[in-house]
Amino acid sequence: MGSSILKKLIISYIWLAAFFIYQKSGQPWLAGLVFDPVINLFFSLVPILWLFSVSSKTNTILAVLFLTGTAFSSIFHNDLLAEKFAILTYCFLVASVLQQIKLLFNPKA
Amino acid sequence: MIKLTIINQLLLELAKLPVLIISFISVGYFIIINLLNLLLPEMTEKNIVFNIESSDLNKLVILLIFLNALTIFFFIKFKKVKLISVLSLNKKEIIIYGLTSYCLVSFIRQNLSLFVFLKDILSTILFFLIFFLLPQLVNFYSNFRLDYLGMILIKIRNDIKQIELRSINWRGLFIDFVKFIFKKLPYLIIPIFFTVVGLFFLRLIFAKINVYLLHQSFLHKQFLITRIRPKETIIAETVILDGYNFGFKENEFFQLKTSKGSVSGIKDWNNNKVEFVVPLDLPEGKNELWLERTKTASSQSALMKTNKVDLTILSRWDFYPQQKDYQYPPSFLDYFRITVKKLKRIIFFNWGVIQLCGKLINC
Repeated sequence: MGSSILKKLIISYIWLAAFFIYQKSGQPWLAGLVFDPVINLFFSLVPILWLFSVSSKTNTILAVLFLTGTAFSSIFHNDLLAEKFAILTYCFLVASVLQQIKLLFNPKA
Repeated sequence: MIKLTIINQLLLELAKLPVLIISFISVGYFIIINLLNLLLPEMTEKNIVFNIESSDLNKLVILLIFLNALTIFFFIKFKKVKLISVLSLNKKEIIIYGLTSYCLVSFIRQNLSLFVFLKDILSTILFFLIFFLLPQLVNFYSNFRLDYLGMILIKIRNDIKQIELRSINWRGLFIDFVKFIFKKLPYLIIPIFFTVVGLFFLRLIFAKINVYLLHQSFLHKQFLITRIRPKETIIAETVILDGYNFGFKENEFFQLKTSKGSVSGIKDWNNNKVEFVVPLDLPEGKNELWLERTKTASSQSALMKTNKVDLTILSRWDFYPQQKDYQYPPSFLDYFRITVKKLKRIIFFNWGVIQLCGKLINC
């Protein structure tokens, strides 16, 4: 169990580094580059969320936490941070919904 | 076949530690820089010191791959570590390893000066090499056990205790010691080499952090625009400027300027943000914007200016219907033109959301 989590953490660590390194490549191989910081943050997080695929409940709790962060950042006029919190809320909600859909089709999983 | 003594095992385990520390620190350093760049975009400004040059990063990536590959090779050779087959991995891991290899190859590829065809062949070979190396790397680090090191140390201590001091031939021991040093020198070189490289990296990282902190504190004290949102718009739309020390509009000298004069339609002005409506007289194309304010609330105080940022103004009639689109009786072409403009408008003002959805579908 512990080793499995450590393994996933190492994979996430390597993936994050590789993703940011990819952002530095001038002419990427076969595909294009995305320069929008919010989309970059989203794409760097998607595989990690997918790899860990924690329970739907955990994801919903995290989404609510980030939503609160978004609200507070908006109240205190920190739009930049609010934007980032909003995208994280979205990420976790999507992950939670996808897991619920997966459970609908495959209740044993 | 080489037989491993306890000391050899210990040296090999110790050799693993510096590589792990070097890789962890340098990769962590790079991830933190990029995460900060994402969360605090002002760091991506031109003069930012924390922004690693592409060529430096390339050297770092190649060095890390080389160090890790070398260590894994040593372990496979001396300890007969089992290789991880790609087929034994689960679907998720295979996809993430594939994406990671692709990202790394894309980056290394840019510095290969070869013909496109040769470049593609080499990139494909590199892709499969990294794809094969990644599971070994993850396995190598996830099996790292500090308690194993402790176990070996206890074993060595017990062995030493068993030696009876009286029966020791000191001359023979000295010769044995010299022999041992020469025999073990290749093993000793590995930890020494990695420790020196590790120290070099640590010094480099601390020097960079100091320079960065100084630069950031300098930036926060400046009257500076860090970002304009959006960079492209049409007249009569709202635009936001982010930055530092804008102050709170205290007198008539706090102004937003363009090359065509000052902007009057300011909706909000606070210390870090200025929100304004693009004036109708701003010409289409690239326009320079900057802020001006007095140093203190007094109107007699010295005038300060920010850096200039570019705002591109597009034609309003590309997105909104013109008078000629509303002819009577309206033709099919008129309806079509109005619909196309409406669609263009929706896409233009919601471009971020559409881009995100498109990428999600492609994913």
